[in-house]
Formats: sequence, structure tokens, C-alpha cells
Amino acid sequence: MLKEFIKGLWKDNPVLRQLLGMCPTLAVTTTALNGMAMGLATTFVVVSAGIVVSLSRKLIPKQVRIPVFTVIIATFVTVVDMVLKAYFPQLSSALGPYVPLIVVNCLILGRQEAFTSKNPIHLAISDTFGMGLGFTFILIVLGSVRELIGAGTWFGTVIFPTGPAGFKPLVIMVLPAGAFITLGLIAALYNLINLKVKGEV
Amino acid sequence: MKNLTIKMLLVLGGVSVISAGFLGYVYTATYDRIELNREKRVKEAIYKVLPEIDDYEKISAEPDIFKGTGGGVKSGYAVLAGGMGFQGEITMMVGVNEEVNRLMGISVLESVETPGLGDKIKGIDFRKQFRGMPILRQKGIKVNAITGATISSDAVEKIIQKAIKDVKRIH
Repeated sequence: MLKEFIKGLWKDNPVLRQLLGMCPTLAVTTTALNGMAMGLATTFVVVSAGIVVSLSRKLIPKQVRIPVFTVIIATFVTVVDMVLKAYFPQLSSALGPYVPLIVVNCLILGRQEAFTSKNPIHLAISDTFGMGLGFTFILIVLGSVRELIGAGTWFGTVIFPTGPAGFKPLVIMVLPAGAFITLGLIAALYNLINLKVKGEV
Repeated sequence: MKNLTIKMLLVLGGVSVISAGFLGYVYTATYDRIELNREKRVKEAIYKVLPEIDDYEKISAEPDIFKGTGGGVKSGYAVLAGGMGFQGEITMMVGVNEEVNRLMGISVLESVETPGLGDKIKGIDFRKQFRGMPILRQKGIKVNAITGATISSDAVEKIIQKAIKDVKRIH
């Protein structure tokens, strides 16, 4: 059970190993806070959908499993959207149209298809929870790098004061190109560490 | 074969009905708060663009126009206006004085402009130019654009022009 949880954090990390959910990963990580909010919202959806799918896995005929998974996922995403709008309006407006788009995050559908529809509930929870946290972790790292270099702040706190003589933010880092550059470098670093551990470099 | 068809129909139908019921429940549970948040943001924006008013009343819907009361010479109209920006819809509150010959200020309610560039339209450096900006009879207003964000700046200009037209129609 622990093994299923741990694998999502590093070995089978959804972003760096499986390269799933690239759209939100690239789009919302302009700041660390946005990355964290998107990661936690996705974690909630993937775990909730995982529980439901795992519990009903024997009832769902395999011919209609994809539409059933999609309806379940879309329901939880809509719930997240409404709760954010009601209780965290600022976060909701920062994430904007990306919250409804969690529905098409292939990480979520991928976990149902590959794991929760074939495993009992306790394994389903640890797998999806690990994947969700692994996803959140990378989104925070990505958002932190882009926010620090692109705006000189971290979680909204000024780290490098800007000014005529001070830090010059590199605007490209908060633009889409910065997302690709940062993600590429992080993925390269991830592979390097894995190779080092194996002793191949 | 027939059994399978019926099972598929039952499962799909059942899942849809359950999720519809669940969504209906969450919708009613959050509806009041979502409306409240929206009203609060509109209210805050009105007081931001007409800082010296005591109260306001809605005098028109779609476009939503509010008339500030109290505050004497510093009173005026607040117009909710929107238009297309660089990446998506921009919604703004535009404050105009009572004679409709000067702007009082603007406040951006919703936008998805590029962080670091277009989203500077929310910043004070850009917004302060509108405080007391004269409205010319022919050209309306002219915006000092943000470097690197011409499209966002032009969008703001267009939205303000539209808001001025809306106020003039009822003024």
C-alpha cells in the first residue's frame, strides 16, 4: 500500500515520468500559489474519482467505462469549481478557465483506466493520492522557479526587490515559453538524478 | 448480448442521474455565496472608481450603470463594461463624473491578460492616468499604452469608449 503511494511522488511521477497533464502544468504555473492551488484541486478530483471508480469497478461494463469515468470526473471538477467560487473567489479568478479544464487532464482519466478500475479501494486511494501529491509538488517547483525569476517574488512575498538598481525580472519566465524552458530543465535534472542513483553517469 | 445492452444503459443512466443530483445539491448549497461574492466585488469596484460617494443606485441594467449619490461635485456614474482583451474577456468598472466630461477612474474586475505584461492594466501605474482624464467630444479618450502590451491597452481604451457611450445615452 505504501509502495503505491510512494511511486507517484518520484519513480512514476505523473509530470516528469509519465508526462501527463501537461496543459495545466504549463499554463497555470506562473506563480507558486497558482501551481499549488491547481495541484491540490487536481489531487482532490483524482482521489475522489478514484474512490468512486474503485468502489463501482465491478458494476461498470468495460464497453462504457470511459464515458462513466468522464461523467464521474466532470462531476467532481464542477464541484471544485463551485466551491472555489463560493469560498476562495480570489483563487478562483486567478485560475480562471483552467479549473473546468481539469476534466480533460489525462492524468486523472489515466489513473482510473490504469489503476483504480482494477484495484480495491485502499490501493486506489494510496495510488491516486500519491499521484496527486507528486503532481502538486512539481507544479509548486515549476511555479516557484518561474515566479522567482519572472517577478522576483515567492508565494507573493518579495524575495528580490525590483527597482532601478535592483533585480530585473525576466518576463519570459512568466510567459508560455518560460514554462517550456523550466519544465524541460526540471525533467532533465530528474533524469540526471535517476541516472546518478543508478550509477550510470 | 441483450443483457449487456440493458446493463450498459442502466449504468450510464444511473451514473448520470446520481451525478446530476449531487451537482444540484452543491449548486444550491453554494449559489448564495457565489452571488454574494459577485455583488461584493461590484460594490468594491464602484467605491473604487467613485471614491467620494456615500451610496449608489442601479439606474440601468445591461449595460449595468450605477449612479453615485452624495459626495457633491465628486459624484458620478459607474458603468460595468466588458470587451475582448488579448487572451479573453476583460470586465471593468468605469467611473465617469456627473457632467460626463471627465473620467473618475477604472477598476478591472475580471481579466486573463498575460502576467507581467497585459495584466499591468490592473496596476496603479496604468490606472492612475484615468483619474480626471478629460473626455473629448470627438475622440473620447486616448490611452497611454503599456510597453509590450499594446493589445491589452487598446482593449481597455475600447471598453472605456463603449462605457462612455452607454452613459451618454442615458445622461
